[in-house]
Amino acid sequence: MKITRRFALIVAASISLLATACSKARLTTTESPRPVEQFSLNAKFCSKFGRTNSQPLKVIFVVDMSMSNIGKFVGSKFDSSFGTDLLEARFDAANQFVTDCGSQNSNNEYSVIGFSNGIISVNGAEVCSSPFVKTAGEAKNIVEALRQIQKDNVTHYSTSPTVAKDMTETDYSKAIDCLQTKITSDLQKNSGQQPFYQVFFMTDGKPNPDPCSGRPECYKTKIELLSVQAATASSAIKFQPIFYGKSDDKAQALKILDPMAEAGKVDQVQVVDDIKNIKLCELTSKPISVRYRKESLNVTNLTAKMERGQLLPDSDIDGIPDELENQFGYDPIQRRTYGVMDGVCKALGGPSLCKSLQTQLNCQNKNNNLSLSDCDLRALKLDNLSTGPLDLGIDSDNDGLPDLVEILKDTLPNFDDGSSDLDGDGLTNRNEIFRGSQPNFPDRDIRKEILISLNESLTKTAPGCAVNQEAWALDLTHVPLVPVKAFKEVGSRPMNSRNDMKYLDISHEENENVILITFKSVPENDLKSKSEVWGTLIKISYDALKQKSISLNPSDFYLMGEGVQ
Amino acid sequence: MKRLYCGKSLLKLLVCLVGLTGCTNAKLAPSKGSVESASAGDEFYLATPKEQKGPRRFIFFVDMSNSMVSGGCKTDVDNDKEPADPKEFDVVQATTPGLPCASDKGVDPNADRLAIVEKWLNELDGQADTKVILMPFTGGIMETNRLAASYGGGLFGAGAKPEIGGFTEVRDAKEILTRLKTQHKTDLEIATKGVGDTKFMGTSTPATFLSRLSQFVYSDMKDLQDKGQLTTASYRMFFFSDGVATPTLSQVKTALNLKKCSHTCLQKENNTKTCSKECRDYFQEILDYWGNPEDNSFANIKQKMTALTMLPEILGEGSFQLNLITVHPERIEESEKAIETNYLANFKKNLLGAKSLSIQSSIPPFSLAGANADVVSYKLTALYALNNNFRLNPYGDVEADSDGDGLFDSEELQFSKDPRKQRTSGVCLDSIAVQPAYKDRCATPPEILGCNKNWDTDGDGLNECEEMILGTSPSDFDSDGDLIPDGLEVVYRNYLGRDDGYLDTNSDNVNNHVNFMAGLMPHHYIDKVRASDKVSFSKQFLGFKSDRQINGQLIQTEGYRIQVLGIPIGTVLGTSEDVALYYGKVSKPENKIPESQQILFGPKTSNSNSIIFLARIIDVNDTSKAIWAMLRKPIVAEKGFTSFGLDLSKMQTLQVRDPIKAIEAVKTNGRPL
Repeated sequence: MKITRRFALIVAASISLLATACSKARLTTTESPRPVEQFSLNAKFCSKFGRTNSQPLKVIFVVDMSMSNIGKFVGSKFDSSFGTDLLEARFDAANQFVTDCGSQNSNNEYSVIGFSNGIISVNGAEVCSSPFVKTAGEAKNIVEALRQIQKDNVTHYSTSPTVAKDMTETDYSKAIDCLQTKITSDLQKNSGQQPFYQVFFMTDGKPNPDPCSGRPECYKTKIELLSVQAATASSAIKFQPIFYGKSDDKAQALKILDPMAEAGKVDQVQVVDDIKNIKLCELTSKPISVRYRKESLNVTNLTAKMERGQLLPDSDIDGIPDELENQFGYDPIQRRTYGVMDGVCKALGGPSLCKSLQTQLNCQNKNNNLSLSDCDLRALKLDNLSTGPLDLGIDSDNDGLPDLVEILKDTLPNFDDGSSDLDGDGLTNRNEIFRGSQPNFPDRDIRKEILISLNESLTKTAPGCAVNQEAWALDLTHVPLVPVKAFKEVGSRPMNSRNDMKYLDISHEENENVILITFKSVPENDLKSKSEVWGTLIKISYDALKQKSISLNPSDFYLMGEGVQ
Repeated sequence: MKRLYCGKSLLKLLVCLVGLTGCTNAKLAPSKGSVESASAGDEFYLATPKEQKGPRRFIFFVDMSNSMVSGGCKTDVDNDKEPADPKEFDVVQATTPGLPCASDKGVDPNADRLAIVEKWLNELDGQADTKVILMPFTGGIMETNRLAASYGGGLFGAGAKPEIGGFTEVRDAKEILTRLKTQHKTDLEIATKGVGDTKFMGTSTPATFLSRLSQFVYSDMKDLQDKGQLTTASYRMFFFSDGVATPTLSQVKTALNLKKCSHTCLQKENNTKTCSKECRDYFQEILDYWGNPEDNSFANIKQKMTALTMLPEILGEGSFQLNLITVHPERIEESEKAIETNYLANFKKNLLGAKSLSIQSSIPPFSLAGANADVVSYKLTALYALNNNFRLNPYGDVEADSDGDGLFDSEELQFSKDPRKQRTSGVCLDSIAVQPAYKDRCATPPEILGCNKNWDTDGDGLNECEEMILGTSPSDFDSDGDLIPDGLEVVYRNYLGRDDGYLDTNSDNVNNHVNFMAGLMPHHYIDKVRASDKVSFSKQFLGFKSDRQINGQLIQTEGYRIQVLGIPIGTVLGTSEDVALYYGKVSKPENKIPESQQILFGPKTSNSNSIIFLARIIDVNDTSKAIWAMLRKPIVAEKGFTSFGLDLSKMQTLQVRDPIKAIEAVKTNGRPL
């Protein structure tokens, strides 16, 4: 392990402290300040990210046309029973989208890219640089042409298996490069249009062979670049990988597809046993007609806990600083030592109570999008405040402070206490959380190095924000960091999520701080729409040498869940 | 500021003390030149708010039930506890409720309530534009008929003279009063003798009389509304009673027990098997004589009472003040004063804005014609100095909003609106019309929406259509009760249905209301905004000033020295539009809101800014409504800002309606604009 100079200093400082001071003294504020590392970031975000009715939705179906779709060679004989989509369901899915979902908006445009070891040419036309088609009929024509190609290939391989035809290997790189060409030329041709690109990347297998083979980050980078390119042209892109292949190939394929989904700003890879079960329409962002207002932005270093004027590492993100966990009877590297998050446990009455609670709670340790488990929520009775599955444990008291943050900061998640002043230092709880101080310890005059400072301003436009939403620029000038141990969150995949929401995994490497940025989106005078909590997670190394400059685009913020009102 | 320094030597100290006193005086004295006041000395004090004067209506609703002259019998159904053996009751008495029994226990044997009404009527006699209703109430059809007999035909019928059919002149009410006094006297004599049936007075079922009253008040309000006078009209109701409604369900049950009749007789249908014909007739008799106990459920009485007090809310104009007067509370038994048994006590708790008092003699608790409290004290509860036409825009730059419609000039161009017109497309303020949530409805003709775009009943700057579209109350200047008028909530993009004094949208430890006072929007970081871009003023409390009015009323007002230290000033376009909004619901010239009372305004000339001072004033004794006063001060933009003082006495009372109790529906449904 490489220890940076600064880190070594801290270790030395703490050792000398141990030698001279008793443990009591460590809890007082008079202790000499610990050095902190910090980072800064620029972000642009929207009060609600998504597309409007007036914004063109450009849908691109990238269809895997490799041989595995229709069968494989068993010895020298072609056996179509091994085909993953002999029934042509992926063409049906695309057609269905165009008919049922796409036709609702006359602004929609389509493109279909079939790929194998290269791009499949349809009717001799150039696929990658050709413009989008503007009608549902034209889109269906291309889909049908690909379907015909598949039919021809089935016939061909059954009769003359020795001669290769269109459907052969799987080359992701070529497909993504084609996508890149397509979007670039479209942006050039229609500058100022600010379209919203929705890509469905349907595949049944891992790439083989391909220039990026063996390097998953290679694909990821390509998609990231695409995303940045779209953002600079004030448009946005969602890249949704869909895997429908054999279960034997799944693990290997997901190693590549998962990072692609991340770069594609979608929640996860859609894995289906049978491609006919996929509902593309549900995976598309719904157009927003209501204007949302941004409220209560919070930046929280989840891995650091302010304790009596000191910023202490909290590696397992449970609301108890590492060095105090043993003292209270918890495990410093376990987030839920007794089944319920340690901070919750401490608030409720301690380990013995939690041990007895474990059996009563009847929970499965499933996390919501903000990494609160059903056990945590039951223990705090927050499930009683929920009005629907999507608001469970998000912002139960509707005060704009997410439940996770309130639990970590020792304010009440079940009561709107944002405007009260728990410690009587003249700063409201809301403001204390905003500046990163401790709501229940008077610390008004705390030194600035361990506080968060930021500037945010409403801007007229931001790349990727729909015209009817607020566009914001966030300039995070100072976020203090602390040295932490590695941590792995064990809660299972999220409960109560939706395709357009995202689960934020708070697991982190050694010395990686986890910063949560959230804000509330409140619909303006529209009683039918619920308020929403949006956010993003940044993992940044305490090690100054490993830090990179971060800038976020609107598409980097995700919907976490709904508010209770 | 110059600092005074006091030295150690005695002489110096003396000089210094004198100096200090001098300093203080100088501070309090008006600094001439900076304020435009003719009568120095008054300029720091609030002028007595000119409360609206219009038609005055008085309702005297007087309990004429038997309990006024007689107490309940131990052996009567009136008794609170039914004895185990029904034989203990005198069966005859059960069929003739209201039989006098214990005359010494009547609540108001001396008819003090009628004496007070008489004194008040005398006060009102001859006053301009004053009408009254004197309505007695008792119970049951027979009771009503008995009472009606004294009017020579029927209580409400066409033959009654004078007829109780609505508001009348004071002298007509006086005639009715004379009869009521006679009735009271007659029945008291019967009660004193302890034999015979009361002639006029009986049970107490106020609900049926209240619905009758509602019809009269409603038709009078409609009448005034058609004449355009309802906005300034005031209705005051005086409800004299002991607060005990009879018969109650348990009393009727007791009566049924006495006749050995089943309680199934209480059900109107399918009771022929269990309820004999004799019993059915008996029950009908009870209903006729006593009235229906269902009418006397608290929910029913409260609903009827609420319906009456809500009439101004329904019509969008007028004011209704309810005075609950408990007659001789010292003579009412403690058990009957409890909130569960006494409807006046119940109203006191549940009807907001109702005044509750009691009488123990024939002396009126206050005068109706003139002063109504020892001292009327007015307090300043909020003060704003705003330049609506030049202020900080959402993106952090000061910018002109020439027409003061809430949409900055550059935004007006962006959305193709006219920067010199508040309502480019006719119905909605441009700042509302451009929002996706309201766009469609703002483009809908008002006839289809069912609203009038010229009416601004409450005077908050928003017309009826806008209030409807936004979900605010058209008859409440400050719908959510957060001290910010609805129209200004729109302009400064505050929350229409939530308390901005509680919210802190950007978590900067400064609530949205403080942002508003600085002329900023909720998302602006007040500490990071340049001083020249926000409003700041100093407000120093000086003390109270008392004035005795001609009618003897003592008025106390507060004094403040207010100095505007900063306010953004800049060039605007000048407006082309005459904002034609009307108070009330009649578009006629005298109802037109004058420029000096418009809170959303665009100066006519391009180099002028118009600063508005808005004060929220409370009559300490009347917490039902807030009074607002305004002063407009034109400033020449090119000259820039120089500090100036406010002549508080020059602020003019606005004819706005601001009931302090916000309508609950508005509070819960509101969302930010």
